[in-house]
Formats: sequence, C-alpha cells, structure tokens
Amino acid sequence: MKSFSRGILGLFIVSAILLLSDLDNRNKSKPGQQINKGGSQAVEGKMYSIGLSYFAPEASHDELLAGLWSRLKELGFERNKNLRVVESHSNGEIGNISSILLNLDNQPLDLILVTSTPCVTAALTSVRNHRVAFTYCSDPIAAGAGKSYKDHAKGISGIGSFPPVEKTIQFILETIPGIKKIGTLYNNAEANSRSVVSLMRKIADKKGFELIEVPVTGSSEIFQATQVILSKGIQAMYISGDNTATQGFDVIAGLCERSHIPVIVNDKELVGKGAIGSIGPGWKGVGYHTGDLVASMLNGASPDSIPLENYVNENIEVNIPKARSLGLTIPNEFLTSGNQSQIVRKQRFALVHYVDSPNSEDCEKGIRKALEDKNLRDGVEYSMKVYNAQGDISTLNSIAGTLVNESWDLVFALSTPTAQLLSKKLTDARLVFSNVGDPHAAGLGKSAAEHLPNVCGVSTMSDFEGLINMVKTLHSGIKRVGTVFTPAEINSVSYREHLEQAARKQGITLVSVPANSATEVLDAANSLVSQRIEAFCQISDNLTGSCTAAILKASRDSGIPFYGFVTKLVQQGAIGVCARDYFEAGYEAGEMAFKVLNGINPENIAFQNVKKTDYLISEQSARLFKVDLTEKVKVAIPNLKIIK
Amino acid sequence: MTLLIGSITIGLVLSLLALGIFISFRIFDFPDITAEGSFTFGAAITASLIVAGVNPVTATAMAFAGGLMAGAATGLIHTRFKINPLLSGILVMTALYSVNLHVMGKSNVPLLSQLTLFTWAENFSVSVSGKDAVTNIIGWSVPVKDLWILLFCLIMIVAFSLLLLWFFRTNIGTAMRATGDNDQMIRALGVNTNVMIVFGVALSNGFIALAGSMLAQFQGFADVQMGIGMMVWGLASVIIGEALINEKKLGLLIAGAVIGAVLFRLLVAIALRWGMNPNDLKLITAAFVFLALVLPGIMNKTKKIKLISQ
Repeated sequence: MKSFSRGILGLFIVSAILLLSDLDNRNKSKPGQQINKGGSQAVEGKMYSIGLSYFAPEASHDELLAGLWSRLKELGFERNKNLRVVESHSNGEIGNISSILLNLDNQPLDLILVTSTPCVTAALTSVRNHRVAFTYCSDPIAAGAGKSYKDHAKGISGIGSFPPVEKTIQFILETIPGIKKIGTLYNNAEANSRSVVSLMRKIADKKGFELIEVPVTGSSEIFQATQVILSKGIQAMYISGDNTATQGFDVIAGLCERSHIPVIVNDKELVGKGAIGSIGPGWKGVGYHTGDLVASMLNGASPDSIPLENYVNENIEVNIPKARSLGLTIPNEFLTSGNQSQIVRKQRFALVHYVDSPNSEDCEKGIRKALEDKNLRDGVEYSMKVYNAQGDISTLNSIAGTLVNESWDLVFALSTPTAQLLSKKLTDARLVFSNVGDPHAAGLGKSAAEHLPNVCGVSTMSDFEGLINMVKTLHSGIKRVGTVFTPAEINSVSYREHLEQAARKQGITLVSVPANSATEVLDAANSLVSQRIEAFCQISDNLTGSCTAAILKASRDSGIPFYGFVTKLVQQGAIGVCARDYFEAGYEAGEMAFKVLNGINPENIAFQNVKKTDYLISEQSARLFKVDLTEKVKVAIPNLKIIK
Repeated sequence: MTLLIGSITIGLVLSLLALGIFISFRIFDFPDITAEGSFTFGAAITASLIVAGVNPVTATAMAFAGGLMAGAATGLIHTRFKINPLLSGILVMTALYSVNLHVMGKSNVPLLSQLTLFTWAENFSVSVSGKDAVTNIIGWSVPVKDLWILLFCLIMIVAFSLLLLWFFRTNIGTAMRATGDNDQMIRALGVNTNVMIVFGVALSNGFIALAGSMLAQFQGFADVQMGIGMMVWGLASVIIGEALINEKKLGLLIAGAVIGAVLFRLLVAIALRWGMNPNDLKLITAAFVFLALVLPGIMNKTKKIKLISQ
C-alpha cells in the first residue's frame, strides 16, 4: 500500500504544480476591496426573503447581481438556502413597474430591492408595507429619493452611481481632437438621464462644444432618432446609462458604424458591442458594495438612518481595434493603468496549428498581416499565443483543455481537426478558422450562413474549374491528368473529388494515386507518370504541400507539365497555378476576425471561401515544356499574369 | 482548476490505452505496435456507428469487439506463421489504416451534434444541477458538467481496472500471466501458450480500441490520423507508473498504469500552461517524462544512503 500511496502522492504533487501555475485564473480577490467590511452576517437558521424588481435584463445588470449575490453569500445569505428571492422585471416598460411593485409589496418579504432609476421612482410611491433598498441608479436625488444624500425619503435607502460624465467628455475631447459636435440620445422619462444630460450641457458650455441631444420615448424610436442625430453632423456619440438607449444599443452602434462615428458609453458591456470606449461604474463592484447595505437591512437596520451613497468604482475600458479602425488613437493617460480601477484591454488571441505544415504556417502569416494592416500590433494591441499539437491528437486535446481554462477574445483554428475540437470544447470563445477545406463536411455548419453560433471562418477550397480550364486551354485535346492525394486528410479527399468533377465536365480523366507519408510521395508521382498522364494537376494538402518538390522532380524527369494551386510553385517549376493562397486564406480570416472584434457576432458572419484567385503562368517553365503562350491563351484565361 | 480537471479526464480516457499496452508489453512481454491502428479502429467504428444512429453503448462495445479482432489478427499472424511480434504488429497496423478509411468512408467523421456517452454524462449533469451550473473549488470556479464527466470517467476506469484485476486472477488469467513470465514452465503444465498469446494480444487491443472510441466521443470526432504517436504515449505512461509504484503486485501494477497515464497528461498540461515556444513542446514533454522516471529512483537512493549513514 505504501507504494500505491506514493503514486497518489506523485499525482498530488504534479496536480499542485499545475494548479500553482494556474493561480492567476483563480477568482481574483473580490472587487471593491476598499469597502468597509462592516456588513452584518446572516443569523444561523433564519430564513430571509427579498423581493427584487428591475427594469429589464441587461448584461451589466447581470454583473451587478453577480456582485451582489457574491457579497451576500460571503455574509452568509445564500440564494435558495436561507435567502429566498422573488424576482420580477418589467420587460423594459415603465408602465408595468408599479403593478409589479404592488404585487411584491403585498407579499411577506423582509425587504424589497429595486434596481434602475424608473424602479426607484416607482418604489417611492408604490411600496407601502416594506423597507426598500436600491442600487443601479445614476442619480437618486433626481429620481426623487430625497433632497440630499442625508435628508432622504423615509423607508428607502440605497446606492447611487452617477456616471463620470466629466471624465467621459474629457476622454472624447482628447481622443477626437478638435471635435465640435457630440450627440446623445436618451429617454426623457428617465430621471437619471435628465440629470446626466443637464450636466453634459453645463460641460458643453464650459468646454466649448455643441451638444446635439435627441430625446426618445421608447426603444422603437431609436432607429429614427439615431438617424436624425447622425444627419446633424456629430463627430461622436455619447450614450450614458439611459435604459432605453442601452436596450437599443445594437441599432445605435450599427448606424454609427456605417457613418464612421465613434460611440462612447458609460457601460463597459457595450464596448464589446461596438463602442470604442467606456468610462463607467464597475457594476460588479457596485453590486458587491450594495451587498453590505442589503445585508444590514435584512438584519433589521432601518433605511431612515442610512444615508444615501454615491459609489462608482470607476472602470475604463477601450476597444483599441475599433478605435483604430476609425482612425483614432486613445490618449495614453487612458491607457496607462496607474489607477487600479482602470483596465486596459489588450486583446488576447490564441492560434492553434495541428501540425507543422507550410499551408498552416502561411495561414498564420496571412492572419498576422491582416491584423497588422488593420493597425493592430502584436504585443501592443493584442497578444497572440500560438499552440501546435505537432500532429498528435492527444496533445490537441490537452491544448483545448488549456484554452478552455482561460478567456480569449478570439481563437484561430488552423486545420479541420483543430476547428472541430475547439468548436466543441470552447463553446464560450469566439472561433475563427482557416485552412479548413470543407467546413460543412467537418460538421461546423449546415450551410455557409447557418452554422455553430460561435464559429466563423474562411475555407480553402481551391478553384478546380479554373485550373482545369487553364490546362485545357494550354494543352488542347488533353485527356488524362493526375494528382497525388492523401487519404488521411479530409481536405485532400474532398479536393480530389472536386477536381475529378471539374475534370469530368471538360471530358478529362483524373488519375489519382494515394500517398500516406512523405516517403511515398515520390513513388506516387512516378506511378502517375507510368499511368501515362499528360499533366500533373496537383491538389494542395498538408502532406503533398510539404513534399511538392518530389512531384516537381517527377515532372521534370518525365517532361510532363505540372500545374498546381499554390503561388510559390510557379517559381519552383510549375507551368501554371491557379492560386487561392493559404496566405490569402489567413488574410481573409484575419479580416473576419477584425469584424468579430468590432462586435459582430460570429453567428451572423457566413462562412466564406477564399475570394481572391490568381492565375499565374511561368514563361520560363512554359518554354521548357514547349507550351505556346499565344495571344489566344491570354484571352481565354481572365486576369492571367505571366511571370518572366 | 478546469485545466486540472480536463487533463485528468483526458488522462483517464487514455489510461484505457495504457492498460491495453500494459497487458501486451508487461504481462505478455509482447512488443505489440498494433496499438496505433487499433486505437483509430475503435474510434472509427464508434464514430461511424453513432452517425448511423446506433446507441452509443453498443457503438462503444462494438469498438471493443473490433479491437479484439485486430489484436487476435496480430496474435494469429505471430503464432501461426511464426512472424516476429514487431513485424506482425506492423502488418496489422498498416492494414488497419486502410480498413479505418473504409470504415469511416472518409478520413474524418464529425460527431459534433451526435449523442455520445459524454452527452449522456452532460445531460445527467444538467438534470441534477441545472444547465451551466458552476461550483467553486478552493477559489476556482468549475463547471459542474466537467466534474460529472470526470466522475463518469473515473467510475468507468475503476470498473475496468477491477474487472481486469479479477480476470487476471482467474485460472485462465493466471495462465496468461505465467505465459508472459515463464512460457516453458506453463507449457510444461499443459497450457497452449499460443492460444494464450492470441487471447492476450486481443484483449490488449480491445482496451486500446476502447480508448480510441472514448477519445473520439470525448473530442467530438474521429480522424484517421488520431492513432499516430499513441503507442509511445501509452508505453511512456506504463513506464512512468511502474517507476512511481515500483512493486510487482498485479493490482498495484494496474493502478500504476492508470496513475502513469494521468500523470503524463498532467505533465503535458504543465508544459502547455507554462506557455513555451510551441516548437519545444515535445522536447519539454520528453524532459518531464525523463524527470518523472528518474526522480523516484533518486529518492530511493537518498533514502538508502540515509539508512546506511544511520
């Protein structure tokens, strides 16, 4: 038994090493440490109940609640154990709030918690029987909760989080130098928005820019209102915490995107949906802070004796790629993380190869080039972690395990097995693939538009008809062409079938010989020669991609012309290529990735095949194989480039 | 923590492979490299059957049966035709490559939206603790789903290990072990060692195919190249386990193989987590395995020196 326990001990030691290296993924110390931990603990064995009423489900509200529940749990109040929560929201309609509150008010509850300004206002008149706590409200005074933070309405107390309007405007002015017009859109019925906008006006006067404001009365008007604002020549759009505008944010961001107008917000959740920057309350921290208030009120503290409080826990988040795409540079003072609450997001990418192959490597180069062309620099705006399974499926599984563990802004998968595995394991991450021949056969989607929600990418199906057309034009009356293919690669098999179809359409027979390892490629090529093919039409896969030299050798020795699908073959002895490059595939995947970073959901991006096709012919090789490049040929092949 | 749990799960799945390799290499002393073919064979059979709508349990059982057949083929080639064990393994492995392509019809079969054993474990988790439930383990938040899958794998491996232990203690099992230890002696006792070898290699490959089948279901696809390198990993796991346990009792040897496989996956996970140059991954893995093999020995030695000095 002693030796068995040694084995177990070994496991423990190694697990401990793994966990130690994984420490930074452990839930960090809770936000808002500056909070005075005086909250009161739950009394053992006692049941508590809260009625929670809010405006509408929103991402930042979820975050607020996450912070709130986690603090309450720390204080001993656990949902579904000793804390019962009756939850309801008004579906974003102000008219519903009162009836919801009345319903809550007539239930036996210890406390009613309201979040968002409209609910606070309604609670002041509708709740009679219970004490009320509130949070997630920009300006409690404007909401009517009191004359001042100390002198407030009876039976209610809470946390206000007035958005840092002045700082946000400073951010806009410094990011867009010389800006004259800033637009904003809000619901006039929301008290918090009214007070934010009135502060904006004051700052506008002081700083000398024009504030274009358009009020709306509901989310249905947002589309039109945004168009109106944009037509007035604004240079930036500032959306504060207005509930109606937040709900319709996708519309606002979409229209602004089309007019190349940057959007600045006070809600960091919106940064991922098209805003370039957010300066606002960290809602998780605010929720956490609210936990103390709720706990002490659950234990009987009277709200009358608790003054209102403004708590912001300021949090800056910027989308640098998005800003750069609009030609903007974020000033350094907003990027340096001197203040602990300022968070600058460097985008974190992961890129996974299955095996070292020229195709996969070219793809990576293309992706990097595309990002560079979008002004994203490795190490500055993003960091790219590269993994390579080195052809080993169990390592690929381990890589997936490693990736799941961390959060990524984007993951690139550069092969069919990689895309399959990652799309299964990384359901939370956004995935962009390339170097995948046929995404539908790989099970990634039913059609180009209808596919797994978190996956998009560029497939690398070659232009088979283009190449067959080229061969047919250069060698009239050709009957037999040949290719080496790799049965083990799903792409290769699928390419071979497509090439065969394209050839058959033109009355050409395709002879194909399989190769399973690098050593077999030359034999396979020689076997093609012995089967009296008239030209090589070599499809592109990982194995033959690494060993094309062998096939080119067979071509040279036998005098049978070689055609292929990869650009660089023209320099190596091919007469012509019809190239949809892996570099190009990577480049297009990089551009697609950029769209995803700008807030477009991968679900809405259709799979696409590499768009650009180059038709290249090498004059030297053509002469060597005695192929005439007449004017007729140049006419028959569109966009033909002849390389001297 | 998800990383740890994920690695242990993969390690447990692959410990079936280690058990298979343990049977052929350690019990029978038969250097069998059919593994790389039969691993994929198991995956291919399961994937094709599941896609055809067969119940995952049946599909997994069929994979085991397929592995048995592949192993029996190797054993028969060796015993009937007196072909060197290594070469008979190579023959069957090579042949299986084509067989696998035929079984799948193509080189890669996705199972992304199919019902597998692991979807059952997931569904069970959803019904017990709700969708997307997350629990907290000393500060790391972990999806409950992953824990259930881990538990499922653990139960399965323990069950298979006990089954194997029981089997090798039966009369026929003991005869099989004796065939590996001292075949002249057991032949003198009237046991047909050839039958024992065929049966043993078959059993070994059954386990290996089972590992392939489980991995395909775990990762969501089967690929004809997935067996490449597997034998080396399996063998490394067995030897790490031996070095660590360092005892000859059967039960401990089986436990050692499982522990070795899990340990090996943990070492790979550490190499990945430390984020080294991707090209160095295998080098580092090799270095880790080296350390895992050498350290227990060094520890024993220092212990002995201490004893002497006392």
